[in-house]
Amino acid sequence: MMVEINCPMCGIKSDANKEECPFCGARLKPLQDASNLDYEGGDLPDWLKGIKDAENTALPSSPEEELVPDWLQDLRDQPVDIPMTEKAEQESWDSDSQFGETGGEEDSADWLNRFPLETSPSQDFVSKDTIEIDEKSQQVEPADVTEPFTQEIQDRIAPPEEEPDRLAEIEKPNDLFGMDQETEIPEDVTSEVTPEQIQPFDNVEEEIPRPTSEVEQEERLEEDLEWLDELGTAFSGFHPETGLPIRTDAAFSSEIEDKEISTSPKEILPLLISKIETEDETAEKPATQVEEQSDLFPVELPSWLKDMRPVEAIAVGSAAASDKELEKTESAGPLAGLKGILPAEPDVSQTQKPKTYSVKLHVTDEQKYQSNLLIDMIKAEGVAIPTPASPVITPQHLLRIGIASVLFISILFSLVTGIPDVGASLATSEVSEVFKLIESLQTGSPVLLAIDYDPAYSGEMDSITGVIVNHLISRGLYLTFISSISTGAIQAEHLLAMLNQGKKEGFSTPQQYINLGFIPGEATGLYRFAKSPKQVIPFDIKGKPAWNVHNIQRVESISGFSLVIVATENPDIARSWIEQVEPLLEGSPLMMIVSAQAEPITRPYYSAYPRQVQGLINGLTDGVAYNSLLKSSERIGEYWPPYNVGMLFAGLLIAIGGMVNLALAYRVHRKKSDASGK
Amino acid sequence: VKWSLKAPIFASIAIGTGIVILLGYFIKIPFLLNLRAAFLQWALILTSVAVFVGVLNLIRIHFHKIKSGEKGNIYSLVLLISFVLVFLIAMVFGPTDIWSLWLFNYILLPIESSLLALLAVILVYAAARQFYRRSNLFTLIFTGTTVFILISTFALPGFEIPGLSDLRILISQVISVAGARGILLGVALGTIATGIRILLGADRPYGG
Repeated sequence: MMVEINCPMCGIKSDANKEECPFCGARLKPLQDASNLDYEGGDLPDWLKGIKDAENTALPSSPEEELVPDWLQDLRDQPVDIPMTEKAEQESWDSDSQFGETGGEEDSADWLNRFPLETSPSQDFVSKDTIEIDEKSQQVEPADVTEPFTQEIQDRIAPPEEEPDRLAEIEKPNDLFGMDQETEIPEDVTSEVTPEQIQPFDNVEEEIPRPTSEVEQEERLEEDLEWLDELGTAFSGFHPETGLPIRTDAAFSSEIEDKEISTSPKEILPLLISKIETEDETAEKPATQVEEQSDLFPVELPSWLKDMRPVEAIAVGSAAASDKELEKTESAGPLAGLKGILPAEPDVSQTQKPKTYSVKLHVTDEQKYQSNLLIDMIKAEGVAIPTPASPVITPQHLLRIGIASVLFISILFSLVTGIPDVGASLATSEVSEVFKLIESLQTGSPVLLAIDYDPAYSGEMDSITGVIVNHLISRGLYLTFISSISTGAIQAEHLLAMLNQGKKEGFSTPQQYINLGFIPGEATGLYRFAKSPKQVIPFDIKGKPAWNVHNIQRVESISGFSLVIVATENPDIARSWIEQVEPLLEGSPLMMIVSAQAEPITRPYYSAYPRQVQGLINGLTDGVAYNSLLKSSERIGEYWPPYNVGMLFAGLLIAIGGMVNLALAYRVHRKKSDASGK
Repeated sequence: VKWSLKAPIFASIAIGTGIVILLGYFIKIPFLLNLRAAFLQWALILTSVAVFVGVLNLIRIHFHKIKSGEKGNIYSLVLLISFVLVFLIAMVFGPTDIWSLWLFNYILLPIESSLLALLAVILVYAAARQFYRRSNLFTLIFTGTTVFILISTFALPGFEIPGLSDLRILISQVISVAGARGILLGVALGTIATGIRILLGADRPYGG
């Protein structure tokens, strides 16, 4: 019995002894003996064995299954209603149309039989022609089947003489693929066949395998066109797009009789070929365009960009890989023995190790030097610079300590020893006027005394004010203390307590004096108090009614007091009293006891004409002079020698220190001049 | 321009009050005088309340300093303790009681006097260093005048330089008074100008 094998290309069974397939010319036996390849040996890895086993199991069991496309398989599966007479004829045709044992042609006849051929007038022609071919093919021996089969195919494609009109109508390309839109389709035919029953011809294009080379492409096209010609012949009565039968009556055939009819298979399927050629042209187009645009200047990439782009390494690697691929000979399958076969899995089969690039930067020495400088600068920013420790005692400290020591020692020495005996200052006319003014007041007359100096000035102001208060009380005048600062009320108590020291009977309130406390509001408060003192300060500092005392019961305004005395060291307070209260005194005298620093501000009011201040006691000097007039033994006399010594030494220190610093300044200036002169 | 309804209200109140107070100096109408007296009394009351509010604000600020742990909060703690102590003593015993006087005599008065004494030393030192900092004619005049007044004040018995006392009086009672009078005149003019601006609404220290 003859052993047959399936052609790996066309699937037609052929003699196993033949080297090539008589139908398609494909090599049936590989150049390299497959038995020499150890597919089952241990050289192959397991994963490759698994792939091969999977391929073997996935292969179709029969050539029919292998070669039938999906869309044809779908057409087979569709039920077709064929009349019994036609069906019997089809069955007989099917049985006679087999090419011996060839399955490919059998497939075509099989699925073509499933169409309602009675709807097409060309069915008779096709069936008869096909039967004739089948009969002839059965008479040919399988070994010599190539030539007669080819001849029969060509004869079948060639236009039959007995029905030229029908053939021209069938093989007209535009009619076959629906390009001729002017073709009229009879309604009776349209109603019998629906478009859903026929697969569009566009799917045929998808089934065409893409050849890898031009030669193979032409061969494959020839092969494909053969069965497509058969397909076209079978569907000659249908519109390619609508799937409707094409009008083929005599009248219609006569209308298109004059048109050119091409019998070439390539012309029957121009769209398929044109699409394939178009794809090839589009693939080759870029190269052509580059050649056409060769007149453009070549672009020179910057050096840094060239360094970053490893084009050469890749190009060299790819070129080497392509050379190896070209030299490679296929060892198995239908392409066994052929060279230059494209690898099935180029990425997987690429065994060349990609070139590695070092991540180390290539820097010059200058760049290293500059980067080190930058690193050092950044590190230096984070390092704390220790500040030089300042000396505990500087020359300025020594100078300040020296001045304080000289003043303290000299004043303390004078205070303890009473040296020098400077004597009492001479009473000026101002002091004499104040003395006479107080002496002129009637006993029991109310005198308003404002204690408006801070505790810091108690050393000076208490001494001066104490002398005046002693005189007032000795005169039997009734004292009413008031203050426009918050510490003035208790400052008055402190003054009285100081004056009471060493006395058997001190000043008593409210018999001899009353303390009204604090007047808020500064200038406004003073003005308001001057206008109506009983409304502003109705109670004394102890919270008792202040104006019930006999001496001050009739006081309704500031003018009710016989004398108003203001003791302050603040020029602004002195000005407020003078400007706000003095206009309301209505003839009552206003006397100021001020510190030495407030004298320049108060003296203009005293020197004015008419006088706004009727008496002025200025500083410790006038206080000592007033005390000399009183012939009192107040402690202000004890302060006079240290005061003079302190003033003298302060003057001397300023003078001496000024001259020394002037010399130092001159020395520094001379150094700078010498330095600039160089 | 940002415009608020408060501005004309505040301005009208301030201007109206100022005009009433100012007219009270020149026009002796009982109604006007009484109105002015009422306004001044309100001012005194508001000032007293302002003092109280100021004390409360002082306590609040230093309390927050202690609570937040700011640097130097120990001084705030001393201030609050001193405030509470003095307040309680003055409220319980009275402001003129012996305990209140003790606080004044032995705490407040020595501290302030000592600060003033230090000021005297610093002034002497600054006057001596004045020539080093700025050696010019004005420094010489300022320092020379100071030294002359200080030394001329020293009244050594039996030692009197002819004309020295007269020169001192000339400086302290003529030159200095001339300068002080100029200052007073400037203050008076400034006060008048400020009063007019407030009456016209040009200056609004009350806001708006």
